[in-house]
Amino acid sequence: MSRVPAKVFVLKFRPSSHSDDYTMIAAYKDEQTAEKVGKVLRKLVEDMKKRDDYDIDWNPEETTINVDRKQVWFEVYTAGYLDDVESVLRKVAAPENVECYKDYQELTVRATVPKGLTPETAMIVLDREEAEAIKWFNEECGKPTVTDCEDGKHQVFEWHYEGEGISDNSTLYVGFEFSLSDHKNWEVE
Amino acid sequence: MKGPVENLLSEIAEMVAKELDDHIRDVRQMLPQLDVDEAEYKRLLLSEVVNDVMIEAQFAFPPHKSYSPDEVKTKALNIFRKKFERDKRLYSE
Repeated sequence: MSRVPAKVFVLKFRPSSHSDDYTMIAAYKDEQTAEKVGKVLRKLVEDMKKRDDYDIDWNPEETTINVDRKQVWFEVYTAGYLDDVESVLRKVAAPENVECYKDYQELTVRATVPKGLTPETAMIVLDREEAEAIKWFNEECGKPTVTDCEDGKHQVFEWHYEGEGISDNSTLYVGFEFSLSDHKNWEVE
Repeated sequence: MKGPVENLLSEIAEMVAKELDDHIRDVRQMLPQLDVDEAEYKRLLLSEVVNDVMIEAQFAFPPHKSYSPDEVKTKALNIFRKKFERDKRLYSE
């Protein structure tokens, strides 16, 4: 983040040559405020459709705006040209929180482990990669919910993850590449 | 102690703040549509403008000197006008 004489935006986007799916999520004090912000955000996008002097690399037709209770969601494929969006998110009302994710994902991650293990003991008993992955999910998502399997011998740790993209078809990127093919007892949906 | 980049950004911030004061009636017409107060609106717009010229300001002094400080100020003023006009369109009744 940059330092300037005036206090700056919390998020500062530095456009790059590489585009990603960006998701901005701003949380407000109540649903009415979120509705109000969502309305102005739609007005901004309509304004962008009529003008060519905005410094953006995305098509205003290809944006998604949703208001979900107290949250406003804005999604677009861009190399980081989001200053006008952030301006609206912060000026129409003071957000309690603004977060920005590249390739936002919501995942349910399950690891089947021998019954009786806690997340702490699992990190000692299981192989190093599984231990590291469990540690990562515990830190990012909190302790897992634990459900017994019908076979009476196993249990399932389950985490719900929301944030930057960490999963492709067969790999979890959790500080290292954790192969799901090599760990059949793990699943992601 | 401030370096030349910080001094230039400070000058730009003061220049933009003065521009905002010169258009205070327009600012006050927007405020009913906003939940932030006048001071916060000014701070946010100011930071938008300063952020947008940050890189040029860094390259306006040796060893780079890709821009002159006056060019950076002119760019900042143009950005301010563009963003202020945007806000007037968005935050009108």
